[in-house]
Amino acid sequence: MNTDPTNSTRPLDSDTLSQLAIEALERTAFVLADPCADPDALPSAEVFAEIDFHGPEQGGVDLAASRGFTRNLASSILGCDAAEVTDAQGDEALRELANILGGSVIYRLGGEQCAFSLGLPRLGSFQGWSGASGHESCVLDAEGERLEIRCHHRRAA
Amino acid sequence: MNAANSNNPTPSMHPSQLQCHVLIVDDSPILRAAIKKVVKLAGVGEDRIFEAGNGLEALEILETVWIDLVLLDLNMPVMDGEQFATELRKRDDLQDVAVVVVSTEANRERLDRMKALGVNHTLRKPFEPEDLCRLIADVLGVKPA
Repeated sequence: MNTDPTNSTRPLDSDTLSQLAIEALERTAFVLADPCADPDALPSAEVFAEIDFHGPEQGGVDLAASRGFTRNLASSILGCDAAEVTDAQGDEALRELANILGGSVIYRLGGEQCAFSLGLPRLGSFQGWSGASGHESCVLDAEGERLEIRCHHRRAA
Repeated sequence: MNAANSNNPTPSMHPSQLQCHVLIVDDSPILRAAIKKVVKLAGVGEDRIFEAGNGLEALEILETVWIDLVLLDLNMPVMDGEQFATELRKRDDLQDVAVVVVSTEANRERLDRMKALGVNHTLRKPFEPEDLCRLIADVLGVKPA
């Protein structure tokens, strides 16, 4: 257990990041997802969201998803048909997933004595995504749709 | 003095039978919708569920409506959950309003400050709907629907 609220962090790897995302999807929206062995087979990412965190380490979590994923996510959260979901609702669903996953990541890094703080989640862009260098990353297949996640962090000065 | 919150009864039955009022404070409309579904499942009527996108909007609602329970996000623009709880506790007429934090917040110091402000419970996102349902029933002192 991490007992130092100021300096200690616990390790995070890509498999853990993947599991945190799968758990967030299941618990928040009953959306089932699995690590994807063939990302090229999934639809391209069209929607991007990101959230920053700071504390003993500073960094962020970036999400990139296919439009179909955001539509399915929003429809599951709202309890309506995917055809009824607007693009704006899909965007909002991914933004909130970034918030939830950001919270899971800092809790993983900081534990019960977590000294990390989250920023506000925001929609991102393809330019921001392509420029990001992820320390940990994964691609999930969520019922045939793409969710890609990257986490970047470094020890605070 | 806020007359709406000046005579708060202690619930002992199903929340809908006692006309409990719940205020959901979260900047995410889609999360408010998801939480609202769970609150309805807990037995609270839709006409007794109110929504605010930040702490300032929540304080405005509390001026006009009797609220038994606030489900409060922390990280919000305009006025965050901690600022809201601080303002709430300054008000003598709102001391009985129960507050449950429903947030991604993991920072121990901040959660301790919320506890010192009288927050009843904290539920960390992501959560199971059943967890929130049980928490609502627990805080309102009723049996789950």
